[in-house]
Amino acid sequence: MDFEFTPEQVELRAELEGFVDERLPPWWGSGIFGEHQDGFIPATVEFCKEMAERGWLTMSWPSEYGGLDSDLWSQMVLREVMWGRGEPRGPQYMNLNYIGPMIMRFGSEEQKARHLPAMARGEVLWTQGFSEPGAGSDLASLSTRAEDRGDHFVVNGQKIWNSYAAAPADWCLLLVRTNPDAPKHRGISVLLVDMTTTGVTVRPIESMAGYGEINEIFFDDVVVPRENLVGEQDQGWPMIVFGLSFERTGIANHARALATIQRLVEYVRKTEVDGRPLAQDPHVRTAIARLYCDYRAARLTSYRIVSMVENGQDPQAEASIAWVYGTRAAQNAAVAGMEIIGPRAQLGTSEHTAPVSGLIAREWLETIPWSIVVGTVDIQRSIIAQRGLGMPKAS
Amino acid sequence: MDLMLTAEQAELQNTARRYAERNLAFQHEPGAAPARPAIETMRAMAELGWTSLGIPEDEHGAGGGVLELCLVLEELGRVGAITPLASTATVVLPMIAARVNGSDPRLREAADGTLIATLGLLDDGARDEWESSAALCARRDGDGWLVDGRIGLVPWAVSAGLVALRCELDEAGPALVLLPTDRSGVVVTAQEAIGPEPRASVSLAGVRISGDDVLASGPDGAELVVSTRDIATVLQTAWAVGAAEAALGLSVEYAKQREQFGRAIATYQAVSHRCADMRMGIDALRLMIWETAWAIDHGRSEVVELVASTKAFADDVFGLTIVNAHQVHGAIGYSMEYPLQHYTRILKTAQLELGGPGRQLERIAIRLGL
Repeated sequence: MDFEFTPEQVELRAELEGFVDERLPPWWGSGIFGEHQDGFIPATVEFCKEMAERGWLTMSWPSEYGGLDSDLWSQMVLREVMWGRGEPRGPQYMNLNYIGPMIMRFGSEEQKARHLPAMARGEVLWTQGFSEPGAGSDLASLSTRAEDRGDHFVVNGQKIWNSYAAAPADWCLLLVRTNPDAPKHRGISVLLVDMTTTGVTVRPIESMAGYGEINEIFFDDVVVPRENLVGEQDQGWPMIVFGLSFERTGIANHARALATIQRLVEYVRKTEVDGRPLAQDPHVRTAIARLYCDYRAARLTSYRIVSMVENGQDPQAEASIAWVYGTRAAQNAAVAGMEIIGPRAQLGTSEHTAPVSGLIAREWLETIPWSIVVGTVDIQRSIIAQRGLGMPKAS
Repeated sequence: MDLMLTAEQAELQNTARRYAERNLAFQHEPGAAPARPAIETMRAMAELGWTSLGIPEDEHGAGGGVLELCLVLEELGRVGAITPLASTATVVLPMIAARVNGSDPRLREAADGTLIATLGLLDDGARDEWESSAALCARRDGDGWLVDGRIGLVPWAVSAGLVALRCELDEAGPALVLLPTDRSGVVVTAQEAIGPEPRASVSLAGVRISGDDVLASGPDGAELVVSTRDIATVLQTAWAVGAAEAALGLSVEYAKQREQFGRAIATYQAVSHRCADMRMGIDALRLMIWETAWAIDHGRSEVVELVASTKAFADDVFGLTIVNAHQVHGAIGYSMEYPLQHYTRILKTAQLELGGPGRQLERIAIRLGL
């Protein structure tokens, strides 16, 4: 048992922090979504190319696919630095974190050769086609249809909540139903779809946090060559489970919470109320200290997953616990921060009088979906009850 | 970074679990044999090496530290065992920290399981154990001191031969003092409290303190009081997290068996999600305890905020566990014929003692630069 990073990992953190802080544009603020929609995607692409030049973009990947074979804790350091700074890899954290690893694990040699090097160079944007208007928490009930026509599939249907599809994304990791007669988990396949294919239409959805990071994708007789099928036909569900487990653990929400806590500490120390620093208000002190407790719970439950994986174990309920604590820490920090700031917490980032540059309001807007994406917190609770406590499914 | 127990730690945990289940489990059935005297349990635990944990091997101890003690204590909590192991450790560990020689008879007897020791921090008039100004004041008398006062809610004081107290010594400053309970002027009176572990008040009337009783004084004394209180806090939380685990286990089993409206109540998410919330809280708290214990054992500078946040978080988790476990059980959990009450009483005690969330959150705030 050891609760300390190695000197090499500590050094890596300092190096990464220096690198990121030097490169982020002055308007970056807390990241992550495109309030500066015109500049956001190009900034992340530029950033990823520079990361790639240093080998850091695919640090977690095996060397045979252009990675550094880095240890799991160095990857955690990288995640913490990135998510503590608004994830400047932007859309590409998805490629690196789970779309790439899914192709490595289940893809053909041809697919690996075609897609992995481009991801490793930071030159390609991917989106994911999972949710549908009728398939959210019950993802396996998805109905986007891919008809088998021998050397190709014809795809018809609609996906929704597709991150960065309008960035524009070059490729989509798409879940489709290839066998409508099989039980719902056994008729799903995974396709890699070129987003420039005829019949693919993207419609951006404006979210509470701004424009462009979530979308709908319509598929109208879209032809996808058979060589773009990942793994076996109808055998997509285990791949999705694999991918989702990466997604749940690849986002360092605790680092994001810590960044908000640090902003709040700075704010209450320099802000005076009735001639006294706000930092002396007992309620404010208590509220911020509580955030530190949430942060620690999130950090340690997240670290436990890394330790389990490192020891060859398969975290399931543990991954759900970490995800719930991570989202809770990030959300609580934003909510407490707004309460501490008071009415001016609602001012937007363009208001020059906005406290903390309006970043706490941004954080509140951006963290609302965290308890919904990757399985809602209530789905996570059910996973914990079933897999962690052996309780029966709801009947 | 590695959050897994070492092979040795896992072995200790397994041994403790097996032994505790067989020999120390709380018996709630009416007519169950009365618990054996605490000192007999201590002797049995001494044979397992648990009373020597935290004493270095070259001082004839079992090695290990606060983390190893936490592992054992959680197992004791898990079966609802009421033993003076933690209480005695809160005296043994500061003796080691103060470099008391391994052959000191008090240390030897504690390690052999023939001496129960305890720590009293709740001075009369103090709101809690963290109040700094309320220490007993001892006046100079020849080459020693005389002290009057009263300490409340001292664990195991009725069975203890030795009690550690914080004192303000005239001319020598703040100190941690070890007093034999048979010293003239010391009166121990059992107190009725809601928890299952015994509590007593310790009254001091003109009690003489000699230099040999003083473990450390002055700045060293002040520091030793702080680190002792930190250790006591972590050990009690570790024991209580075991009780929380037991309350969760009882809840899950009950929910699977209990049928209402034609199905097991575990199939209702209103019930299973209460259990999932307990699972989450207990898991996170256990990791916090381990990290904090590790930091104490390694003399890390962040111990203050780690202890404080562990205790503040424990307050939330224990509160949630008390409410959720009782809700899942319904009326049966309220009955003395069912064991749940034993565990939720332990949790309530652990919430109240050694600094509630208000105290701990303020300590965190200071460390965050507020």
